[in-house]
Amino acid sequence: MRATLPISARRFVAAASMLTTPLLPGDYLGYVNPLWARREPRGVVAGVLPETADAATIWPDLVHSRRRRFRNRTLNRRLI
Amino acid sequence: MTPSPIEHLTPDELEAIGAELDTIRDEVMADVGEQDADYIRKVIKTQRTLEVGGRAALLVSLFPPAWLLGTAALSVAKILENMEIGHNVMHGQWDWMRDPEIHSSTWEWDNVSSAEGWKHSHNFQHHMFANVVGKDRDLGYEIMRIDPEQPWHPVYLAQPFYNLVLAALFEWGVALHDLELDEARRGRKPWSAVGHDVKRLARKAGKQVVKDYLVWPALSGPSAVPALFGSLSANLVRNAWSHAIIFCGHFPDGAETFDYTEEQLDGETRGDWYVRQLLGSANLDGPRLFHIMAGNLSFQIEHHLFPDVPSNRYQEIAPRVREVCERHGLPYTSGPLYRQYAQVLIKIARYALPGGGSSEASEPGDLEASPSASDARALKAVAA
Repeated sequence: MRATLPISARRFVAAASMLTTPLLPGDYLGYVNPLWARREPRGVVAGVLPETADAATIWPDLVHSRRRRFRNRTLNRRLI
Repeated sequence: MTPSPIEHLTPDELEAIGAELDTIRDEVMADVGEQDADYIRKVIKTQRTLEVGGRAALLVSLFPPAWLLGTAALSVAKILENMEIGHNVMHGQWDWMRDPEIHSSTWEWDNVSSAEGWKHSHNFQHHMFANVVGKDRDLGYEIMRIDPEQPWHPVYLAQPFYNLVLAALFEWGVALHDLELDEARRGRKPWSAVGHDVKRLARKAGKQVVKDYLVWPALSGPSAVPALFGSLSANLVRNAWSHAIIFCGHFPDGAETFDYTEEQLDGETRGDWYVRQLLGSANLDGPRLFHIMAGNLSFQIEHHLFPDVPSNRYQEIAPRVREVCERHGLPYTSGPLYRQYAQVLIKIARYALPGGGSSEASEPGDLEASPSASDARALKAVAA
């Protein structure tokens, strides 16, 4: 996940982790904005289209879910 | 060998007890759901808020009220993280949520011992063989004699003193305990494995020490020294508290130890196992907030019967477990913290000296003859 961040940002996260260990900075930041939690890919659901009685197609809001790691991954269960 | 405290029970009765306790477990697990998930998420959020608040206050701890507030908040955060969150998450109590962030396989705690090492010595060795002399390494933690069955050694004369040191440095004691140096000396653990565990401990403890005693104080600028003492005090408070709660789980009067042979252990049925867990544990009485701060280990009996049932549920099943005990003539030990802890300290002082077996020998018979005796004691203590 972190591989998608620029090197400077990665260094910053590593330094900040010294303050939050054993947690990650994102474990705290996620309470301020769920999109800042970095353990799991997260994104904003832009739309839900019911296909059948028990199945739906959902798609992300790509403007607010900017991170490449999110767009490149299969949508998983933890959509916000 | 001391007479077994379960001799008055027939195999059929033991089986019935096993089935009754299984039913309690099944019923509560069938009911576990969203409200329980909300509970643990709320505790985690509260803990992280307290931690951030405490750290922030310590940044300006040159101002004495900020030091006091910051240290208090950080102490409470560390206690919650250790007891109600870390210990219970690593037991797998919240694994049913299938939340990868609150799971026994991924959780790491704010403690110098690594989750991996602790899970082995605690979940397996201690819970499996709870209070079996020579098998449960938590019985006196290999450095203390708290039972007449343990052979005496002159080093135990100093145990009332080094118990105080252990209370202050409890997280380090736990970390050392997880290395199993005693097992390696007996040839039951290869030294190469000890080396591996030492490296893992050094990595984990190093990060903890750098965070608490280096980086945060350094960031505090002119408040560096008070911030350092704030971190130190919070760890000390957490250590002393968890030491007290944990020692009260198995060492007060009424909590039995078991001098079982390998064959006896192998032959244990579900019912035998339940009854051993039950008899080897002791509860603490107190209000709801006390139980949360104790990580619900104040329901040590229920925790040992059902180590993976979510901790917030122990309180509601406790009366049902007590009722099963009363019906089958089994003691259910419970008392307020000050009384249970006093018993533990007296025991540590008594068994520092050789012997102690003869005065204790009457106790199992005593309990067997009148299981209500311990209840009466507990009731008296509640009334007092």
